[in-house]
Amino acid sequence: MEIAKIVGIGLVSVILAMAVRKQNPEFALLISISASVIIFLMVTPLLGQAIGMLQNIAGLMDTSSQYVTILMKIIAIAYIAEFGAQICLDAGESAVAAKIELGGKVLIMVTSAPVLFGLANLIAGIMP
Amino acid sequence: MDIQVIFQIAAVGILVAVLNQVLKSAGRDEQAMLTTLAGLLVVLFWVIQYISQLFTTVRQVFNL
Repeated sequence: MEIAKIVGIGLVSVILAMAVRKQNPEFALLISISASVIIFLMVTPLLGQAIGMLQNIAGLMDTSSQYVTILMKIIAIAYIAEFGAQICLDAGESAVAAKIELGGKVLIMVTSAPVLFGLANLIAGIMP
Repeated sequence: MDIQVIFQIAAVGILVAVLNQVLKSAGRDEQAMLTTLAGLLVVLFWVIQYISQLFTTVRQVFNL
């Protein structure tokens, strides 16, 4: 019952963060950061299996593995950018969160450039 | 293993809050602020270690 453990950790940390928030709010933010990190570390083994399954499927379709690694990189960038942005939103700093989101989008755009070029070449090849 | 970190951080937070009140009532406001900073730094180091562990885990999971 993984989900019960995850919800338990989440609730405990939220309650502790509320208890500490009145005196010093920094600790409340640190508690919420550590809670999100812990929950992610609990989920990673399952995530690894899902990623492995995805790679097997990609191997079956014999697409070039370059696109799969780009896909993995984009997922990782998206996850970490979202992690940072949510923490900044928790702290009330929406401007910083927006900048982090912007950085994530730009990085994803840059990483996915080869895929766009491949698609363009494909279409150019098809056109008479 | 993992829930302990949250309890440690909460314990340090509450301890610092109590120390603050005691020092303030004793009239030493500077020490109160310094203990808050010290507690914050200690907890920050723990959390930074955890976040670096998160980033290495993400790298391993997505085998980048």
